[in-house]
Amino acid sequence: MTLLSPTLGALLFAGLAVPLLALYILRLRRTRRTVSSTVAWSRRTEDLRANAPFQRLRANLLLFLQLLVLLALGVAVAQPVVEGWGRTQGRVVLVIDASASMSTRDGPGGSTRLEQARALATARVRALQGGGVFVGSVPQVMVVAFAQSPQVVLPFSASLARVEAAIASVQPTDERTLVGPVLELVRAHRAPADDQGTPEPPPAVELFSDGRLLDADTTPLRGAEALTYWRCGRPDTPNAGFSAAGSEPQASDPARSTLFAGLRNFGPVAVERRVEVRSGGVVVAATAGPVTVEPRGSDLSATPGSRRVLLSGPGGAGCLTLSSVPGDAFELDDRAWLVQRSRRPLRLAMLGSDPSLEALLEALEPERLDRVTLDQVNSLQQADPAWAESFDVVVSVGSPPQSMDRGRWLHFGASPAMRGLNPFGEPGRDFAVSVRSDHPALRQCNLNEMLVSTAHRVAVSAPWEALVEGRLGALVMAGSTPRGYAILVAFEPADSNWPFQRSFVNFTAQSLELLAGLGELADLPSLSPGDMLRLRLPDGVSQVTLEGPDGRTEPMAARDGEASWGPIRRVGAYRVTWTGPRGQAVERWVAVNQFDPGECDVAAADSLELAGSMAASGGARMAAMELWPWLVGVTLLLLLWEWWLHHRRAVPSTARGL
Amino acid sequence: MSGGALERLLDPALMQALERLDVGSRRILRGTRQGERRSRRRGQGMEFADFRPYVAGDDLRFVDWNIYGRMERLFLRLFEEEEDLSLVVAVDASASMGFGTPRKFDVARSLAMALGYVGLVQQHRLTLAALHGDAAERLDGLRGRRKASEAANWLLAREAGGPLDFERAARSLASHRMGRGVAVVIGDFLFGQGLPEGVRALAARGWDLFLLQVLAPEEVRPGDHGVHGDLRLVDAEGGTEVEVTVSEAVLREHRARLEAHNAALRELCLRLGVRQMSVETTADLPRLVLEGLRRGGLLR
Repeated sequence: MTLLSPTLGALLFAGLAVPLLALYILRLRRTRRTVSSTVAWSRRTEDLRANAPFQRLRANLLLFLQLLVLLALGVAVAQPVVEGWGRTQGRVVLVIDASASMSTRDGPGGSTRLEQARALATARVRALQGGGVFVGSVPQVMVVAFAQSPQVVLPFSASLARVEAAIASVQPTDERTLVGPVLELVRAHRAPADDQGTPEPPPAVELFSDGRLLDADTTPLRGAEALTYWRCGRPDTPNAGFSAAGSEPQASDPARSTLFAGLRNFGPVAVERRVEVRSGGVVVAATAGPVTVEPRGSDLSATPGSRRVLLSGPGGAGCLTLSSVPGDAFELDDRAWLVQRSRRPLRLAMLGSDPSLEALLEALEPERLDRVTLDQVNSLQQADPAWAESFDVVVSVGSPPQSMDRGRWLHFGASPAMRGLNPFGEPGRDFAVSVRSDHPALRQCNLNEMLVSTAHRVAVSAPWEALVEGRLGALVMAGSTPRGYAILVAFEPADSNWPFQRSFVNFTAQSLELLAGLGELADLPSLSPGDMLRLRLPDGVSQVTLEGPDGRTEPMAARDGEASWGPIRRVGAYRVTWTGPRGQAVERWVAVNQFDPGECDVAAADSLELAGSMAASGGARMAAMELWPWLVGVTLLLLLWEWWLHHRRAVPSTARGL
Repeated sequence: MSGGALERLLDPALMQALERLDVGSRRILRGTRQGERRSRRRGQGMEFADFRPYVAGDDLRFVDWNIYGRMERLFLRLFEEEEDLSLVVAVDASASMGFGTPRKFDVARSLAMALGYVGLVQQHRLTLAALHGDAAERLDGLRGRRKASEAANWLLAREAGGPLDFERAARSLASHRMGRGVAVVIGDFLFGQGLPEGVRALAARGWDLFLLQVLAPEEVRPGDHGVHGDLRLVDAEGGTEVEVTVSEAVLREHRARLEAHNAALRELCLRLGVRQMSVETTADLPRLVLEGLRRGGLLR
């Protein structure tokens, strides 16, 4: 047992016990009264006041009880705690999971997991401190909140109040959960070696989470690193919600759209859900009745049950809200937001010559299709560097122009000279080895049959990413240019069998649609929490306002024709507005949804395994035993006893026959 | 003082009423002089009592010759001899008797005078005694109505004061030759020590003993007479000090202890064949004497 404030307790006891004893030592100056006989009198003194020193201290049960009360109070103020219940030496990092799954309400009284985590962390830090109320110190504690990226809420501090305030300040996000960056952050805060060169031990990491860590399999602990996992949430909490949302204009009725909603069930039993679509708060479409979403099954590693729902909804630009009714403990995926854009004919420029590509572009019925040569482009760009921005997309085949820094480009052929693109070797035969089929440009694209006779070899680095990897290098790559965006194909269509395959049509059309959309929004129209919101602005626009799902607005400073904001923390519909060059009000919607299956599977992990090593479980080391509340209880009982005894002496019952 | 002294102690009307009373005794006692009282002693009185067979040495003058003539056996005629009664009235004259309103000692003197007056009127031999210290101051040899004033003067000359060793004073009283008779001791009997021993000494003397306990209301119900607060109680005789914080509980305990003390006294008297009676000083004296003492058997 440890006394956290022994001095205070001793001072209290001594400060009150001495006057108490003095009260008993002081003698009452009594009135003398002569009586005929004292035979019938016995000594009965209940001195409540004293006016003369001193008398011999006599054995007195009341005095004994009062001293006991003072002793119990003194010990209570000294704050005894039972040691060995989880106190930790050295520095401690409290890591609180603030990811989307921590918003699951499966705690006592409908509390969220984050609230549980905050309570657990507060109890834990009090245990580290020992539960002191008046004084005492904690070991050096750092508070880190994390989801997709970590955030230091409080650097190492020994102040219990500051640590508790930091824990309370952790706010929920709707982001995914990545623990790897947290460990890197903790390693960065490792104390330097002492004077003898002995490295300080790494701080103990105490993780308050539901264990839904997306990168747990690839994040190992190093050396003497210790991580304690405090589980928040129930391991049997089911969840069903949206896994995807999309819309497509109906060919038969351009004023209507076909809405897609993917439903997913992680629970062990089938659930019934009704899907409602709202626009401006009004239900505009809904399923005729509940649809059944099959369960995942007994094997937790099995694929969750899924169901796709098709609805007919209104067309036109705007944001639709999809709701899954009824909801469940994890509300985040019970709603989804869907942005629809007004479809308008594309304005395209065609650089170079490729019959199949030209035929495809013409089939898309663009508003404008300008055919230009390489020399024309070079001279046009010299005259007007923003020439490419006057088109939705410039499609080029063959040699690249001198500059592709501005505008949206879909280029087939040799790579332009740009940062991050590193041509090497001689062109050669190649085929697709790996495909980023989740990329919007490559959806529904099967490249297994694609053969390339002459592919330029390119190694890519940031800001480029390879969408299709060939045997010899990147075959399709995408990335940002200084003031634009480009999708590059490392070969000309005529040097492959791709134009004869349906995937070529899908790729080209989706790339054009993507690039055209990026004319205003520099990223996908549907984002996930944790992403950055990047916006390509027309020339002359400098002030952009962002209105979040909670109705709060904040300005986005635009620079170099681009505005960015983020990372985005919460799901919902974000409204971006600005004033165009001609003074017209422009409004764009961005939908932010959390569809990540790793985050939406909210069954809390009983234990945590990081790349094969088990994290210690903190469940059994909840808190140090604080004894002062018990001592206060004992004090009250003693006071009751003392009061009863005193009262019994002062006013005895007649039944006692005195 | 002679005539007035008696009236200071007894009301004339009470004296008149007392003249019709006599001292009651549970036994027929033998005196030293002829008196107005029957004795168990058979002898030279005028009233025939019984016969008994003659034994050698008997006075032949009392042989009933008529019976001898009829039965040829000698029988002696026995007569009840009239003897006087020895009445001893002792008063506790210690300091504790000076308490109370009216004072216990004043009431005790009046009671003693009333008893003594009955004895004198009935021609009994009266001995008055005042117990104080370890001795008994006596006035012996009083007999006849004319001695009443002398007795009153003697009683009025006594005053309560000083301690009392009841055991030694009782032994002192019992050691004097006063004949067998009735002894009445008037006092508060609130002795811390020596009470049983003193009573036994008096009872062993052969007297028909009567203890008349006189208590003041202040002793019985001190709470009603200003005894409250934080007090240091000093015993008037022994000087013993007791510190008390007078509360309801303390008063209840005091009453309980007093009742226990008196109960112990009653039990002792019962065991020794001693009559006992307790009175309060506020009791009406004529009524106490004419009714209370008669009911207690001390007067008849």
